[in-house]
Amino acid sequence: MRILAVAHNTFREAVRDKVLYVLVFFGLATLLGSKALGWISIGQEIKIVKDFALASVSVFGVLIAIFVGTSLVYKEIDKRTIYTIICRPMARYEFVLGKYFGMAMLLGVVTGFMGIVAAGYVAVLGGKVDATFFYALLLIYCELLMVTSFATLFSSLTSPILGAIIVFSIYVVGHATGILVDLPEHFDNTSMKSFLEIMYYVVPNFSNFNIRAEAANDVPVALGYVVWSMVYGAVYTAMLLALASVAFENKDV
Amino acid sequence: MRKMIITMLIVAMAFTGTTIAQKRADAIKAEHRAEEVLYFPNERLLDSFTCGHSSVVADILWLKCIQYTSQQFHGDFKFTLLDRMLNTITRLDPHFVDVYRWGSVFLAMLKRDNDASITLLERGIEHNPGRWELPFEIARTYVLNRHDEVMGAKWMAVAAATGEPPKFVVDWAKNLQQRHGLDEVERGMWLEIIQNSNDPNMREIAERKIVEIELRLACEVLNEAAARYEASKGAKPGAISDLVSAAIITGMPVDPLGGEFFVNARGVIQNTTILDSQLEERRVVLEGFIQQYRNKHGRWPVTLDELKTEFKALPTNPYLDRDWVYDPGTGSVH
Repeated sequence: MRILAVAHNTFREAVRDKVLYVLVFFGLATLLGSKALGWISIGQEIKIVKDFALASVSVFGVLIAIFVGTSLVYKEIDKRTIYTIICRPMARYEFVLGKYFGMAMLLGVVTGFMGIVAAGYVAVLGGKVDATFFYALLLIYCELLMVTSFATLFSSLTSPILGAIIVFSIYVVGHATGILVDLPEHFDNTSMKSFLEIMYYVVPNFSNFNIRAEAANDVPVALGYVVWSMVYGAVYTAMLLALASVAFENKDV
Repeated sequence: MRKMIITMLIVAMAFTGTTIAQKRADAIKAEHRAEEVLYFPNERLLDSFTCGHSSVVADILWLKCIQYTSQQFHGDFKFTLLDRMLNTITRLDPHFVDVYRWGSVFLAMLKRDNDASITLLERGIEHNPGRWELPFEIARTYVLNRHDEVMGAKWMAVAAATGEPPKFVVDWAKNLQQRHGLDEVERGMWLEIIQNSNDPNMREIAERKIVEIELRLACEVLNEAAARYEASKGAKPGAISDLVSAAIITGMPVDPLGGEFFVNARGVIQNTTILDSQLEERRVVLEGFIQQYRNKHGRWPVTLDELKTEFKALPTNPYLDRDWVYDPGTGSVH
């Protein structure tokens, strides 16, 4: 109940943030403007529109998750509003989780809104919006939740700017994990290969949530893949939130 | 007031400086336009560091590839980097079917590299086994560019049996399998490009190719007339006007593409537009052999005969009375 109260307030506070509207505006502008690229291409105008629609949902969602998420806890400490909260009968982990779920609600609304606009736009242009398109949106949301959990963790540990840089770096590396297992032959039977294979499972694998190319090209994706990717995201996110709670418990405020 | 003037002077000087720098940079950029495309990014790096947006990057690179193709079409007509661009795009988004389709058409018809065209399409089939368009394009390359009816029929049959092909594909597959009406099939393929291509360059080529089919048919008709002339006069005609004088044909044939019909040294009637087209195709193949020779030996061959040690059959000049003119300094052939 207390978690929900914090979540509700976090959501209301984030909704008032002007940065959110600027990002959503640019997201929608990119989405709607993608048709212009289709004009100068040869064929597959709808494919290009779908690509840019899903990319804008993802990119601007990640920017919101990073820039709003990394200041979630820090802002409360900086403005000293944290004291009015921690003096109440509320565990610190409840505060962290409340903050996280508030952001999750916000991202759910933004992703849902942009997703509906994207699907409607594709349909108006005569494109097919099938299950894969919605699976892609669902996995983008899961990716955003995982990025937000990183942002929440670093919001408890560092300043927003440093936190944003670290989370963005993790996001980039998390999309390049394929490199860790796709090694040249001369790595065979070396300890480096074993180490990099272990790292493959340690480093967050954001590419699990990327089925945007399949959605844009109308290539079907197995439901099992979507479910296991969501399970991966849920477990990783839970671990990060646990770490964020521990970090905030130990923080001297 | 003095401070204001100094500030304005500084701003004016700064703008002058940036304008000069911008102009110099633009001039250098224009000089090295070809080199700029050489920095077309590596797909392995792009795939890893586009944060999962490789499909969007593929869209943007496809636009760049179209621009490059158009520039080459109206410029050097070399298309040196086309294969690499297409490979990069299709590795970034292996399901981008239109890139395989139009890319293979660019490679076969503009760069005249049928092998690269077929390789690209075969890779497309690996990733998109349910798309009829890809085996259809292979069939089209075999029929239109290699004039290999047997392989064309094979791939057209694959296209007819893949996914949900339109009726014309099934009909062409039947036609090819029965080995009848190949000219009609070829004409239909070019017409399909005219009707469905968004690219004006491709439409222009297709329109020209349809005229070339008519010219080929005209040559066949004229050679039948020459055979009748020989049967009645006991000798081959020395010129097409002989056929007109003998009232075997009603008038001199006209080539709408500006070429001429003529009787060659063997008494066969040919058309310069068709021969020029064959000449260009064979020249590109021959220059490809010369380049391969250079890659292997580190030097251009001194004469074209040196190539015979490496390659079984060299393309001949389609004009019976002409030989290739080879420049051993540059490796080019005219």
